[in-house]
Amino acid sequence: MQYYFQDTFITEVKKLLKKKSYKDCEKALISDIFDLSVEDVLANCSAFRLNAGAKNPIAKLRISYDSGKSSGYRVYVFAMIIDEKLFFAHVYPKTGTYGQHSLSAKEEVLKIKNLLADIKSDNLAAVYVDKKQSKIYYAPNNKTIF
Amino acid sequence: MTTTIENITSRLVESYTISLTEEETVNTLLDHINYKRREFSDFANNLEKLSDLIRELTWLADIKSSDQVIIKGLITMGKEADKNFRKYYSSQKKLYAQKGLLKQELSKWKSTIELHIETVLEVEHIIFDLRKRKDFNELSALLNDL
Repeated sequence: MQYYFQDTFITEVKKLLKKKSYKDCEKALISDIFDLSVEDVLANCSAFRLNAGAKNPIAKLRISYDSGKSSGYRVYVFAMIIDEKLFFAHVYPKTGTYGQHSLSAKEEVLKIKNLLADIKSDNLAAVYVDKKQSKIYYAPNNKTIF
Repeated sequence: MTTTIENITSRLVESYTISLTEEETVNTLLDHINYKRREFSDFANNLEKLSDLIRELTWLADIKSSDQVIIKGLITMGKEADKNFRKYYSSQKKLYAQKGLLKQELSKWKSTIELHIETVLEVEHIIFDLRKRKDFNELSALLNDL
């Protein structure tokens, strides 16, 4: 699997990481998403499927930290999967300091539209993870992202 | 007061009886706490499973009108059940948490109640709001062409 982050996604995760209650967000992303098969990611993250039956899934992934999917905090991540490539669009927490309501359908459509545009124009950051370090890096220059 | 064997025996029996009764009371109380611990834990685990099952509705492709009626019914049931879960949770919290008992179990249970309604509302949003939008369906079609 290859992984790509939208700039806005990186900004949103950085914002979360500044808060004590989400300080493990990067670790949660790594353990729930990276170095897993598509099926395992979707199962691991209790994914909601936005476009059921379509060839390329758009999913809302639930990432949590702590034991079990219902304790600790929960954040939702918008993701698209195309040919073993996982694209991350938007992250928002449901619980914790920045806990918020779900996006409206109109806002979600806009997020998906922007991600599609970025995919088409190749305007996304390719990333990889070093599980030993529990860190996510930019693929081109090996610099840490968060 | 004269000390006779009858007198001592009577007082000893009385004391032993009281201490035995106290021990029985403590045991009964501990049994009850353990019973409640299991009950809350079972409730939380079952609610997590239920939430997963509800979430899977978003993975069904080609949902027909008749299926939508069923799903609407399930969503209504989920919302009604949430009210009952919360009522029962509040009553149990008053009984136990205020006495400093079973706080961890109650907290986990509360999280699963929140997860459940969050899931119900998300399913409703995806199936009856997002997927009804023309712009969303156009984007999904575009994505499939990639």
